[in-house]
Amino acid sequence: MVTPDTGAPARLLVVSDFNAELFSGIVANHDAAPTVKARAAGFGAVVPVLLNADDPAWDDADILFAWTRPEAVSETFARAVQLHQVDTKAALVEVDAFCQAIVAAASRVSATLVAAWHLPADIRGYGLLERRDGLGLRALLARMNERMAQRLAEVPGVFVLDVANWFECREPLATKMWYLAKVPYSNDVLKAAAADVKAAIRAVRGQSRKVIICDLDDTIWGGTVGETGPDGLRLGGHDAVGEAFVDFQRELKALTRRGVLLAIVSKNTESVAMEAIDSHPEMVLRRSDFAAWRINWEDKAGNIADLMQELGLGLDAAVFLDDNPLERERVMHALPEVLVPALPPDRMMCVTALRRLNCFDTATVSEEDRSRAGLYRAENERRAATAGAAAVESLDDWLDSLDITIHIEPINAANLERTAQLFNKTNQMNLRTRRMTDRELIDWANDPRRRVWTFRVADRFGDAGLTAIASVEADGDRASVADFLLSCRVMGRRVEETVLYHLVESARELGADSLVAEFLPTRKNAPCLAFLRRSGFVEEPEHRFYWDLSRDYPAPRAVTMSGANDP
Amino acid sequence: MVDRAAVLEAVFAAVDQANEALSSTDRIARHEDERILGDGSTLDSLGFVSLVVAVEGEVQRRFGASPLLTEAIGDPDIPVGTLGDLADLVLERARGA
Repeated sequence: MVTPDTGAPARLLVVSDFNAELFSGIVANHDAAPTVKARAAGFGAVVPVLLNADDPAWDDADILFAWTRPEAVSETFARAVQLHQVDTKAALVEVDAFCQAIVAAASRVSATLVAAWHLPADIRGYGLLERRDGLGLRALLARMNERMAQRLAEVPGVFVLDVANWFECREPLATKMWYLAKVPYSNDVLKAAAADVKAAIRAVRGQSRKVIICDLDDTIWGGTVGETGPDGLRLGGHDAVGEAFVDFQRELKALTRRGVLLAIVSKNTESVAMEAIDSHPEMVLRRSDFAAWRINWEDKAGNIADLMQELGLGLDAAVFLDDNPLERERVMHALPEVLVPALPPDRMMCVTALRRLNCFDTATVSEEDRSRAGLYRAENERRAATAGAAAVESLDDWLDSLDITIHIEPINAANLERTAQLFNKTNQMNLRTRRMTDRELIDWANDPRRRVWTFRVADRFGDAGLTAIASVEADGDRASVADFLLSCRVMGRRVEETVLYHLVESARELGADSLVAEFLPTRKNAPCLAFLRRSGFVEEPEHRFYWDLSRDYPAPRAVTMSGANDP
Repeated sequence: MVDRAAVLEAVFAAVDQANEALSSTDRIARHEDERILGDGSTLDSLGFVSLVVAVEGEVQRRFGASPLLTEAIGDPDIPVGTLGDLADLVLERARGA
């Protein structure tokens, strides 16, 4: 399955105790996005390479992948493999030393991926007693992996990769290649590792997919609802295929708890389909689980484009699931940015195909992610309220009725994860579309001439969470806006003006007498330009917006601010 | 009896495996005259070893025979310059076994 490439090449440095040249070739050839330029550091000197910032291996590397065998990192474990009695604490001390080297190396790159340790199946160790604490090799390795995960959990930009699935192939080991070339694993293992490394890179770059758009008939239930009605559908019950469809829906529902949105594009009569969704007793997914839908007899590609626009997301955030190969082909052809995985004709195997998708991996899972579907539902209700607000005299009157509150606080350890996530995925309302990891962002903010602010937005329909970021940088008496970005979920509610108001106040506090926002156009950020042109800032020349700080910028009346502006 | 065409197909399947790790400029063509060692070859030593081990695996899988190529390759009296030579070596060792 190919994920279309939408980003710059990643420059991957592979540090390993074995010959990783074949892996470097395989990950570079792997057809999923992003393009990777991989280089293997000379093998056998893992810790020296990690610790030596002057090692030429670090030239031009932006992502580190450390893949080691446990016996290469822990002398104690190497002795355990020879069935010597060993001290678990000694192995954990060696793990700590390895983690310190990883932490040192992580400061040189934007992201660090560390493979967890794995023991090949051909090492039986103590057989029946392998899981016995203080004896078995696998028991010891589990402790070592747990220790490594604990030590690296709080290190920004460092991620430990689970490797178990890499070895779920017929021949994971390449014994002859080990003796001939010090390559321990088969191409199948190297390819599985390459797929996971690429998924990880997409995750840290904020390029994960965000929406699953489902067909209905023979995709989330068996049968054609328009012909059989809800009662004739194969869903649940004492039926193997019906059970598989229920599991498929459970899997989709689980993905919503990771922040993935669900939507429907189906050729059906909406009222008939919705009756099944609302009333079928075995449905796991209900109307409220879907952020949006297009249920009609129009072209599915057009419906998908329209629906993604409604959600305020690019097509490259979408995955389309449909049992019909012709419909899949049509969408792949018309909308190449949309990921369209093949679903197996055997309906009982579809849940496995869904579970194997690695395009939803993210570098963080925030509370906002877990409740994203609810946020979109609230937005739908808000829109409904807008539609019904004809009697309201003006937009500001209507906005007043929303009881909008915005809590402003500087970037900090508590909001860093969400800030970095929003920073790297926002496209439309984004002044300069900078991309930085959480580490780079906090480093950038740690300059006394700079301020980075976050904005949490709530109204009477619900809490949208941290949905805007702004930063300002002072240079003498002039200040410039480095970042101005908002989630599309809160656009048009005077949040934009509130952010500008706060930037003006912030620039004054830094001692500046003018504030400039320079707009950098991209394919997607025209909404930001449109806002700036009606913001009151003076555009001179094109794309350069200016505010004289001797003048107050008006605070929107509909918004109550708290946090940074508290008296 | 294993014939040469079938062995050549196994060699080409191994070529596909080896190519998975090679850059587009270094890939091996599926042709029996393709040079894999010496002048005219783009393979480095790791690529060559990887190809030979892959051929062993394919032959084992398809014909149930283990040609032990990696031991023979080091013998200077056994010249292996092209994919065709490699197929001939597999046949020779299969017949000798």
